Formats: sequence, structure tokens, C-alpha cells
Amino acid sequence: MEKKMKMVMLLAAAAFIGGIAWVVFSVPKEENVKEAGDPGPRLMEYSSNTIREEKDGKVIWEIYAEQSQMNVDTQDTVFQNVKGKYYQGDKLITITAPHGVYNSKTRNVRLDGGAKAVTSDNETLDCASLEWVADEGRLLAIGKAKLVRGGVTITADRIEAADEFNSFKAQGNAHIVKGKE
Amino acid sequence: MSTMKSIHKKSIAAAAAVLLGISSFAIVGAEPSNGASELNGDVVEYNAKTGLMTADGHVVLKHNDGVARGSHAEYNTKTQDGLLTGGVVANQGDTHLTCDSVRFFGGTQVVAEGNVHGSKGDKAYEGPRAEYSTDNEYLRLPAGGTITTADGSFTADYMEGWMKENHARGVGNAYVTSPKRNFEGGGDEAEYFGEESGKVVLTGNAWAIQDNNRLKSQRLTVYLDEKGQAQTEAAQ
Repeated sequence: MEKKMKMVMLLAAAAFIGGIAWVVFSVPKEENVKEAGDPGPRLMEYSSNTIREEKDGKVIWEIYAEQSQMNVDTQDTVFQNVKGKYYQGDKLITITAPHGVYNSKTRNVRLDGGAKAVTSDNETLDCASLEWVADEGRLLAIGKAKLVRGGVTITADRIEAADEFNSFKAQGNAHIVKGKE
Repeated sequence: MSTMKSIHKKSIAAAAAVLLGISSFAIVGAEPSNGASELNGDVVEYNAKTGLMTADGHVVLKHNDGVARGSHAEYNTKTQDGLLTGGVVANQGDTHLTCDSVRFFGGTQVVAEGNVHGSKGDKAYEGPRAEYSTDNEYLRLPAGGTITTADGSFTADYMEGWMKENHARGVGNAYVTSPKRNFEGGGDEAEYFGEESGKVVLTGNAWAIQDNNRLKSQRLTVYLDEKGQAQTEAAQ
């Protein structure tokens, strides 16, 4: 009788320990939960799409991209093979770059991978990346920036254009040449 | 007296040459005669509407074979007015200049101010301010100074020169010296007329000494011939 009692108690203990072990080891890992609960960013992909920013009914800029990928939740957009038009007063600036990002929160646009801007007056701006800072109305050329305007050439690590592409601030190895380079 | 001609002529020419050298830096906006003009700095700004260029920090200005350095530069491509300040050091060929600031007006006038030290070859100018107009080749040293050549030096409280006419004037404690030729002279005013047989007029307590010859008068006129001989007229 005592033996039977011990056996029952041992079995009960084993069952209890086994139950605890099952509870502990069967809890899914955090990443698995995430995977299960978060399907990832919801993306929409477009081909040959154009987006634009308007202010007071006037188009400030528009971007055409061969491929666009928009995050449905954040509205941020990544572009491939971008061609943009940027309107500054009477001047039209056409911008090309292999890659770009639009931040819907800041409304800033960053084009990178080697950006080039050409104005309707045949002025050119080349740089590694080009950023439109919406709140400040500034166009920033960052990385090996080179501006050619009329007889003036400006090179610098960073060139900032403002005042309808009439005012420029060059910083870092700033170099301005008038006449033949 | 043989040196007086050479001293006056070369002295004024020396200061003019220095400023001519400086004026050739007038600069980025002027159409470069044989190449580009460059303006470098830590930060460079350009306004295409106004034509104003500015540079700050480690400013280097290059034009032709000239290089000028300072800490701040401004240049307007439309008006051709310019300014270079902050320990200005400019070199072009054998022309050298150091000063606190240089200002360019319309590409025709240059003003160097503050501890101006300029040299061209063996000629040098030292003083607080030098002004030069390229259109009429007029040099003005309103606060005087000292001009030095290989022959000697010329000092006055106020100096000016008309380069086309080869005419120069020093006013106030005018003093000419040539240790090399054992000559010195002075007066309240000294005036040189290069086109009139090298005439030098010393007026107001005028005096001249060469070797053991001494002259003193209210007005001394010295004619210098090409051989370096002098004829002196003294008048009370």
C-alpha cells in the first residue's frame, strides 16, 4: 500500500514537472510572435509613377520614377531611376538620379546615387545626393557638389541653393572659379 | 645730387608698381586676361542676382600668376568692388604685399590699409595707407610713409604721384636720402618733375647735402642730367 502511494506521488510529481516544462518550453519566442502578429510594412509598388508637391495651387516639385515603392502606413516612398522637376520661380530644374526617398512626414526628398540637376537656363548641379528641405525651401547638394552657372563654377563638399536658384552657399573645400576652369 | 632723380623717380614708381601688382588681383569679376580667377575658402557664398561673392576662413584668391590670402573676401562681379581682409598676404611675380586690408573699387582703384608693406623687386613701400587709381595712374599715400629703392629712400607725411607725367610730390617733413651716393636732402615739401630735365624742387626750409657740399634755402631747385650731374639754384 505504501509502495503504491509512493508510486502515485512520483507519477504525480513527474506529471507536474512535465507540465511546467511544457509550459516553459512551449512559449513562442518573441520574434516568432512578431512574425505572427506583424506582417511587416505594407508596401504598394508602382511602375512609371509620378508624385508631386503643391503649394497654393502651384506645383513645387514632381517626381517621376520607373519604379516606386510606397509604405502604405508611413506614406514614405522609395524611387528607382528618378526624373524630377523642381520649379523655382520662372526657373525649371530637371533632376535625375538612380535612387530617391520621399519622407512624407517632413515632405523632404532625397535623391542619391549620383544626382544631376539642369535648369532651363542650362545651369548644372552635380553631386552625390540632392535633398529638398521642404520646410526651409532649400535645395542641398551633398558630396562632391559642382555647380556651373554662367561663367561661374563652384565646387564644394556641400552646396546649398536658395532664392530660386540664385543664391548659393558652398561649404567644405569651397572653391569658386570665374572664367575658364 | 646725382641720385635725386633716381630716388624720386624710382621711389614713386616703386609704390605704384606694388599697387599695380595688387590691382591686378582685382579679381574674380574682371575678365581674366589669360585664365580663370579663383576664390577659395572654408565657406564661399555667391548671389547671382547681386553678383556678390564672399569667402570666409582660409581665403585664397588666385588670378593669373597672383595669389592673395586673407581671412575674409568679398567681390561683386557686377560692380567689380572687392575687399580682402585679415592678415592679407599677396604675391604676384616679384610683387609682394602685406597689410590689414585691401579694397578694390570698380576695378580702377585699389586701397591698401593698415601696416602696409609692399615690395616689387628691390623697391619697397611701408606706411599706413596706399591708394592707386589705374585709370589716371595716380598714386596717393595720404598718411605718408617710406619708399625705399636700391639707391635710398624717400619719406614724407603725405605723398602723391602722377605716373603718366612722371611727377611726384612729398609734403611735410620730406626727406630724401641715398647713403650709397652720400646724399641727403629735405624740406617741408619735395616735388619731382621727370619731364622737366629731372627737376627737383625742395621748398620750405629746404636743404641738401652731398659729400661736403651743403645747401640751405627756402627753395632749392636741382636739375639732374642723364650723367647724374646736378645744377642747383637756391632762392630765399
